[in-house]
Amino acid sequence: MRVLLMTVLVASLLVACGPSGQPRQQAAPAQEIEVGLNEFRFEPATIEVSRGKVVFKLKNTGTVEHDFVLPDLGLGTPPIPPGQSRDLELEIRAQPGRYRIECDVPGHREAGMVGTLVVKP
Amino acid sequence: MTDVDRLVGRLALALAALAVVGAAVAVRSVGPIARTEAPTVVAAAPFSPTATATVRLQARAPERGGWSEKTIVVRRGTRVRLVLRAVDTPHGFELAAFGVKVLPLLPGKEQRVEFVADKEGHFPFACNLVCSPRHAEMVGQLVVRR
Repeated sequence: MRVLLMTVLVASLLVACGPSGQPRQQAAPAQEIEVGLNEFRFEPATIEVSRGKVVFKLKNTGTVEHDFVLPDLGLGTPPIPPGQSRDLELEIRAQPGRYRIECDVPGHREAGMVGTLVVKP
Repeated sequence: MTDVDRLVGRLALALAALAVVGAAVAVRSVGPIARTEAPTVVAAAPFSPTATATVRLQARAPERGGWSEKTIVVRRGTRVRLVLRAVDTPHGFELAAFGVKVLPLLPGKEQRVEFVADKEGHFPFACNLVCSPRHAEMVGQLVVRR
């Protein structure tokens, strides 16, 4: 009897800890978002993403260097020379909400080169 | 008219001519500070601790001319009122030696800033917003004279 009870207990634990029978959730593909940087704005200025992997495909379409900085998340690119592109890959785990985007090349933020990253729930 | 009268008249004319030449030489000897490449604004109000000089300064990217005045000259003690305006694209203005910083200067919006030029010397001013590929050339100088 004791052996039977132990067997049932172990079996029930295995069921509880094992695969649920549902297919495992595949990692969502990275969201790719193209962003233009020029004097003195981001295009688009508001970017919506879901939590997870995001690739910002940044292209400086202006005549001076720009960068793409998320100060609230402590992330950003180095300055991107005019005419050049750069990818910024992120795993966004931040809470849903609105986060500021800035160009921190001297004077650009003050000139209005700011945007908003909206992390959707 | 006697000969004496004629002599006195000529003497007076000669003295007047000498005075004009002398004045011209005097003006030349204290003439404007040597120019480099751009017009100089001499905003020198008569010296007084309360004198105010107004200088209008337009900002354009260097490829379009840069600062409208590359050199501004004032007397020490002058209160300088700068009237700043960006013409083509956003710019900024910084005169670090006097703690003057205006950022940004947006096209179409006039901004004023005042300070007292209370020390002599040559002081650089510059655009403090990376405005063009030639941004680094967007500089000028304030000359404060005795």
